[in-house]
Amino acid sequence: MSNRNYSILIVDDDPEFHQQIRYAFRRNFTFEGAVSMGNLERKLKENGNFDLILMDLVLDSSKEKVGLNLIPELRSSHPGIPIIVVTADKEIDTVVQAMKKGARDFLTKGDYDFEYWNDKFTEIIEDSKLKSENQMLRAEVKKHRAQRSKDFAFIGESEKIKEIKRILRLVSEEPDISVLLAGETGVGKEIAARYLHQQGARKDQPFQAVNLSAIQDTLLESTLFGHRKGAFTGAIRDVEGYFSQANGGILMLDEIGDIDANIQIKLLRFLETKMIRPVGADKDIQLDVQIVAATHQNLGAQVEEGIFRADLYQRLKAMIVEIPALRERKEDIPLIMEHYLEGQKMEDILTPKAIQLLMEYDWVGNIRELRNTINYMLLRKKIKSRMMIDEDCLPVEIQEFAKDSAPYRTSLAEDPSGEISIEEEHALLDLKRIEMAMLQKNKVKKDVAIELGLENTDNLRYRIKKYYEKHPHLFGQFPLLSKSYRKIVK
Amino acid sequence: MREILCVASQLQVVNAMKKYFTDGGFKFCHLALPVSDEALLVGSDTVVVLMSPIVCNGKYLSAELPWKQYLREHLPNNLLIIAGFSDFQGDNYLDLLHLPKNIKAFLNRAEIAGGSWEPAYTGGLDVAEQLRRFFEGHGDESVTDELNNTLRILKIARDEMKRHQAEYQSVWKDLLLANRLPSKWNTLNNRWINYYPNFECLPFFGTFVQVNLALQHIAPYFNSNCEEEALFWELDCIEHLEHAKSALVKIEQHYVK
Repeated sequence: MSNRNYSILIVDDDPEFHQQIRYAFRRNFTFEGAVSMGNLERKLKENGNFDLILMDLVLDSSKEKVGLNLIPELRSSHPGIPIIVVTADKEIDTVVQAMKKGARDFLTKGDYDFEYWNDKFTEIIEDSKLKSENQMLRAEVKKHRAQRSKDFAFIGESEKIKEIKRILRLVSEEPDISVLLAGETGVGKEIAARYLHQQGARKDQPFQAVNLSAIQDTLLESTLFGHRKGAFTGAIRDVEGYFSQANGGILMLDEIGDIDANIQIKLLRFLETKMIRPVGADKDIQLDVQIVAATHQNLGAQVEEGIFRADLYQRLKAMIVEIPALRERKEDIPLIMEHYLEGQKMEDILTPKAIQLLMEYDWVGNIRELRNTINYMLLRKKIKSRMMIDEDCLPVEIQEFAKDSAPYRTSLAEDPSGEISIEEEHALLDLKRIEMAMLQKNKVKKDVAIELGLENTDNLRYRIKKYYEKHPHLFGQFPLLSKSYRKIVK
Repeated sequence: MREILCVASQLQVVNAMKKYFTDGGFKFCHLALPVSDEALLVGSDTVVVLMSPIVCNGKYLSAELPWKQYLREHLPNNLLIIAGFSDFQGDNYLDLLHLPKNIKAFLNRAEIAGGSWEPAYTGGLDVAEQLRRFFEGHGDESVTDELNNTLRILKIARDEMKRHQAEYQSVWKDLLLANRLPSKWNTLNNRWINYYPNFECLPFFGTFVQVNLALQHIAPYFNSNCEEEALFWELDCIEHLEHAKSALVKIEQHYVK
């Protein structure tokens, strides 16, 4: 196989050796040469992108092995370029010194063998590239993890949050106990679940979160438990479900109150036996997964109504952690805002009046609403060219909340003058964008969410739900969207 | 009867030593130059007496170090006695101007070849140094350096023709002439001629003889300015040079390092 894309720099005071190597390997590599140290510096300055350096140790008439001192310098200035020492001297001391100083390998000019040298060049170049790629990937993963831990930071110093963190730390010491996280929508149940994951014995194992209400009932079983090839039309290969993907770690089942009776039985069976059976499989699979369920609904009431199985509820309620609503821990708002404002203090960017309004607001959408509000305020500040975020930059419902503590769902979308309000215009534009994306992405919600820059389909669903709550009359213009979210748009 | 193997070239000295040792009750054998391998198939009781400096092709050479190295490898319990006309003192030095009266007592005092004693330098051309320069990796006097260069160029040429079906004419022009192979051969040959006669006094000279034969065998190819493709293949140039190289590597590993 030709490796002509790999570029090799030969460093040797013997120009004939350059000529021989170029000639022998010209089909497989490209070459540049340096016959002196000055020449080498110039070559590296002009083009630092060599894949390999072949270096003799004797580089001038002094016959001293000056190349030995060059190796660490090159390793430090060009760490990504591996060095192979190619010299006439095969003294074991020289070999050891060269390797200690950072050479990747050693070839003696007297033992030329095309096959061996060709393989050696390729192997070292590819190994080095693999290492750099690994380093880059590791850096990426680290960055990604840092970003994720920032996105999912469990922020709060209020007594309630401190207590929840304490409980979660204690629970994390019991890696087999099932946990039920209760709380309103947007309070940060997934964040709490991730906090539990990070504290416990399963922290180096996978964490998977799935919003059960976002998955069609017909697909839920195979999504959770996987399926075998041929299990149903379109099952063209074996697919692992969320349970298998979370093996060894934690699976968070959000909106557990929304699952039907069939899935409830299967989930109960898993909690009792730790076994699942993928759709179409004839054998069970043993898994080691800790279940963290979450819901904003009152499961006890659902049990009474016969919607939710009592035995499953009994299993899940072994450890219930209630995440408080944001309005119950308003002292955490400045900290949360500072986090999402990337370290900027609330008072440095908001006017006292705006801060007062934010602190008075009841945050029915909890942290999710706060986060969206921050994005909205920053955008409005930009549009209005304000030095600071003032009350005009706040969403209407927050502005109005102070004047009238009635729920914002009353017709606040309408401007008192009868003209369309800024908020409604904003909603209209956004809904148009979503409708267009629906059309382009053939109504695949996941792709639509990606197109719109959203983290997942939950966020898309939430956004539509919020718009529908505030501006239901707008939805007549968006048939695709209304059809796709018919559970919301009634 | 204990045997004396005398390595010397001046007949007068050989004859004097023969009388001395025979009178002392020893069997005396003379090993003339060039040294042959068979002559060194000696018994464990044989005493090797090396004249130093030894006259070899008209030069006075001191070869005691390579001899000691050789015996240490192959006959470590045998005695090596350095004989000469200097007034050195030493258990293994036989002063020919002041021969010991009791040679048996002298030999009893002498150390075996495998011992850690250092032979005294007797003032001739140092053959150990000649060997070092011969084998030097980088050196204007090195034979192996030039041999390696020649061999590498020939291998590249062979690969080019065998792997890539290149025409000999293009290889000759673009590689062999571009890298001055005929000139390299001349350098190699001149260096070889310079050293080869000096090594006649060495116990492993037989290996140099084999190398010399190999070089002579392939010389016609280089003498044709490397232009004759038929000679390249027919004379098996690469195989002969490989053979020469591996023989020399053995010498270097055993007696030079």
